[in-house]
Amino acid sequence: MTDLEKEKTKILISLGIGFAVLYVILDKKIFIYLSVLSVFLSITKTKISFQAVNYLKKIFNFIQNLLFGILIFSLYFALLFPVSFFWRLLNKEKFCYFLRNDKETFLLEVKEKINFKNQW
Amino acid sequence: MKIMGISALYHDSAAVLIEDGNIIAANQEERFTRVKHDSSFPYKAINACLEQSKTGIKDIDVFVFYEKPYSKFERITETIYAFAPKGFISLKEFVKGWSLKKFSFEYNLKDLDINPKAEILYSSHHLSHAASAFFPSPFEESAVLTVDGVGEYSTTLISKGIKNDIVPLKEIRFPHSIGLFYSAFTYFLGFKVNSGEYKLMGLAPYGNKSRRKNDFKEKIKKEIMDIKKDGSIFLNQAYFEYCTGNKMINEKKFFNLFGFKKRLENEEINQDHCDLALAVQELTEEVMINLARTARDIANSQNLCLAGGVALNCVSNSKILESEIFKNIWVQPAAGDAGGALGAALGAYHIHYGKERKLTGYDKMKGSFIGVEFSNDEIKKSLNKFEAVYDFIEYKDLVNLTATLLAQGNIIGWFQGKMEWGPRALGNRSILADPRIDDIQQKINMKIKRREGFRPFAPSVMEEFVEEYFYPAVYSPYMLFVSYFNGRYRNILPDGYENMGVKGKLEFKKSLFPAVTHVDFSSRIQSVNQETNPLFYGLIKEFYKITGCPMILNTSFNLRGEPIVATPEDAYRCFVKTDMDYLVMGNFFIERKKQKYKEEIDLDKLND
Ligand SMILES: [Fe+2]
Repeated sequence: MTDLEKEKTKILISLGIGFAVLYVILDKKIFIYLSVLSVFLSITKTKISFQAVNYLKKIFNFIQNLLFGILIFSLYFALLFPVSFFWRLLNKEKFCYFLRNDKETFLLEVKEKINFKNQW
Repeated sequence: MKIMGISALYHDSAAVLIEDGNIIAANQEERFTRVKHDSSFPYKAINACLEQSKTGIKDIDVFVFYEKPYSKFERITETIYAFAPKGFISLKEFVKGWSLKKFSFEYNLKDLDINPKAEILYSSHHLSHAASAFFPSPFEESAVLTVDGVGEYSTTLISKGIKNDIVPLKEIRFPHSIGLFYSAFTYFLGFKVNSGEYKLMGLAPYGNKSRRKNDFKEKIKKEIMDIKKDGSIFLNQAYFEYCTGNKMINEKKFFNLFGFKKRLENEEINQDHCDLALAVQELTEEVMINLARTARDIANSQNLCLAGGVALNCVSNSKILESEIFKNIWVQPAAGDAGGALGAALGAYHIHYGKERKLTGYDKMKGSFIGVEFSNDEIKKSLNKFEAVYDFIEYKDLVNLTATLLAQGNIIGWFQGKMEWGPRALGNRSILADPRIDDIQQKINMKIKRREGFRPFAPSVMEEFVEEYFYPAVYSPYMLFVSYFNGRYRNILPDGYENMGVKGKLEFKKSLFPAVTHVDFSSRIQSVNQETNPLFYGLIKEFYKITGCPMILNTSFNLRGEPIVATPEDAYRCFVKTDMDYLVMGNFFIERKKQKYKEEIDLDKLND
């Protein structure tokens, strides 16, 4: 097998697995077809299989991005956004420092002691 | 006690090895991976430091990371809270880039076979900068000012260094950042953030001291950056997107304010761009001078140590020097984040372990020549690999020959001794030429660096001649200050110079040393000292004997967009790819005309 073929097989098999996972998560039959198609193409040596790699990769990336976006979107609005209200209430000074130009100086006293032990 | 300091995973990663407080080796990862500003974990730089000092990884007692990862994470979360519901995109980008490898120092160390008893420590970003500035400086006590984009929370820190301790006093916190302000305009003017800031600084002298420039300044002060008397600033976040999105600025708001769009990378530079660059540079200087004054007042010292990315702005450094707020100023040559590795190591040694700091009256940077080094045997091996044609010449004759060839107008690659630490080539990985030649600047830009340069090159001047040629006479061994050519070396400017545009001003011969004179007669000088680099000093001296000119043009040994060469192999490949006339590596003299390879060497083919 040439390097190119190896690479193709690797990509197609991972795509096959990826689509299978998507099928399990989303329960849409299209993904199982795409998964089978990927695995099938990975064992053939046609020219199409090389071109198909690119298209499949694009489709997969698109769906992955979309799902990722939805996930972050929900995380953001379900968790971080509501928490931000509490944060603002409890850290009024910090919040104003970010956005309000209402002080003579933006130099702050350094309160933390130097330490080399922890990561905070 | 052997301590390794490491900076990584943000900007420029680097590794530094110190032993009992002495700097043994310091290397930046980009030089080995050949990826400019490489921020990946510096495995190659660590290896280079170990090899260079003949130390095993197991011999290292302490590993120190240059910042606190959790604090940084906390700052990012708090920024999201402060800007909700606007920060969705920045959160998405953040999560996308997240991986354990990218965030955990210890996780990365696992790939190295370190001593299980070795201690692992964490400095903090600005403390690392401050330590990199104060501990190697020649001062017993000093005010320390560190200014950059952002670390954990701080964007600016004023501290006081005394003996083996640093006491942080005041800080400016994110999102108000002079570094990010400068980067935002770097982006708006069509240069790359984190590397193009130098270009903005270089463009500023093309700006006219006109009403237009003052207009820009007023607008920025009123709308974008409020400068307080003590040097602290407030950045109006309506104009920026670094908190909420994946861009530096709100382009629409910038357009509305300045009346022109963000310059595209290949778009021609016009007078508006230059005037805005000058406005931004002047405002930055104003902030830095105010900060310096505050630092002097609260730290109560006549000495100043500077570090952080903004301390690479040699024009603003010089303005602080000229303001005479401080008697003495010392700047860490690797002022950017790479330098954090050095500060982390020195900080741990002196502050955490409380070890004494010995003063010698000089700085401890060894001329910044603390990187990898190659013997003649190693150089020869590389040359043979490329079937290079070379002569072995004793140093005395080699220096004479090189100086003679420089005086004849040749461009010469000069590769000697230990690699420089920090972004500037200081005479060990340099391309050299005669600064008096009219078109040498264009020739180097076109044929060697392959770029259209509007910035002049730097001159390396024998230290004792600085005063005769420049005003003010600055001691600048690391190219971190600018100075102006004295009147007798300048040419008289033609009428209408202000309106000659970038090209006109660039091409006008401004002094007897046109290739190293900026449009405002300034020059980013390197004062070369006989003791710190005898070979390089000897070369300039030989050139002076032949020509009566005590300076040579010195630019870094690299192509556009590539890091400075580290190894003989890098140097030879760069040499054949360009139109350099000669290459001098160690004792080997290599003439371009005689080489088998005339262009890029395909390494794969070579290995077949
Ligand atoms: Fe920094």
